[in-house]
Amino acid sequence: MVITSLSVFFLLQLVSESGLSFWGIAPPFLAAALLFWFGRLNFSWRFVLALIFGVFMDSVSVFPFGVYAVSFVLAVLFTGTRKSLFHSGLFWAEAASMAIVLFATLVLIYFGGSAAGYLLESAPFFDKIQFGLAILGVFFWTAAFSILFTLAGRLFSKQRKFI
Amino acid sequence: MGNRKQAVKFAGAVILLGMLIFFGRTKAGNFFRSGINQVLKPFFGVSTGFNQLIGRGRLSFDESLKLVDENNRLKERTFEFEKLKAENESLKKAFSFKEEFWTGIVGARVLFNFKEFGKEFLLIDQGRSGGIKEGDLVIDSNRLLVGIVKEAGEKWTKVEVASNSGRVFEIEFVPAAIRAVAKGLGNRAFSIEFVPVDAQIPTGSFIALTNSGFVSGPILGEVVGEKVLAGAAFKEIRVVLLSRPDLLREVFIIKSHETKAVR
Repeated sequence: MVITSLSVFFLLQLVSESGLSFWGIAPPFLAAALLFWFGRLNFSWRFVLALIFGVFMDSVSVFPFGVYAVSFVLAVLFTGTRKSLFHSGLFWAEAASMAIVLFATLVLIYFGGSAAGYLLESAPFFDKIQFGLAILGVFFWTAAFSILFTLAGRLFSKQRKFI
Repeated sequence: MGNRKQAVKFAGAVILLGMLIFFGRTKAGNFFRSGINQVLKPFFGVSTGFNQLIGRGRLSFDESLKLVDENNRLKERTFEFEKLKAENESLKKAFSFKEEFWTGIVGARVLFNFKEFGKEFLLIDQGRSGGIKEGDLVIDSNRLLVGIVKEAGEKWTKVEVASNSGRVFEIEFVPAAIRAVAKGLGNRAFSIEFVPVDAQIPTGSFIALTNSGFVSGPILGEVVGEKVLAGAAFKEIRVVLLSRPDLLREVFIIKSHETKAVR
């Protein structure tokens, strides 16, 4: 179920990368789905999934290879430190917890990726206006997907362990 | 103890980033990435199919009508072109003039079309093994410029669409023969500033690359309008990219190191 759902979200991510975006940022279907499962799986599973889907995303990204993989692996670590909040049972605490990790992951991907690209190629990836818009995009998607996926988590709340 | 464990994990992740970035640029890393692209091919296919299903990457009815009209006009132009070509050949013979260009071109299939930060890119299935290098020009089957090779792996290449913001090209207006610099604005549009206000550049003119190593470079876009400020000596010309990257199924890469004049 985990692999199937992540594959579907990966496909959705590919579809959205082809055109659907707000302020230059595509909806983070895969990142949000990964975080959803990270709160429900053990460390080894989280690490393997983060690495596999990170490498998949890296192959369709213009950022230096490895940026997605490492961002997802770091999200695994962040999720570990916030696991108690992920399972607090309070909707807003869970949503806020997911929002923090999702925001950090997206910032790492887009801005860390651009910085890594700049260091390797000495060419800025976006100008100041795009930077401002991208921040708006990251905020918007973080808020929307944190609430959506926390709501989805509520539907699964009776069966926490899937693997 | 917990903090120390986290710090070790964090340091491990940072080292992993360094290794992945380094590994991704090695030959082995390139083969690995080619393998991943092969694995992801079905996903790319489904994604492209879905986009077509929902109307993206497909022409609308109005666009189709406009194209039929344009096609008829082009047929007429082709007839004129053939006459001029024959005339040109006979003149070349009469003056014993011989100049040809050898162009190394390789064809590739478009695997995936994607956007990052509002910039458009294509992933294609040819790479360094086919002689492609960073900076090579990419054209479509109609000889319209699509973009420039951003990153080339063993059997894959990422192409940056020409109109992405930050891209600059030395161009010439056709048929006005005025040289200028076109600046990519994103969203498949270009801005050409500092064009003399008295220059006659009608809507519908084309812009072609000048420094591409060709007698006449690939066509980049079509003039759609101009902006003149009162009392200014220069005007700004707005151009749209003629190629449609979202509709492309195949592209051709001009191998810059193999393109030369033969006299």
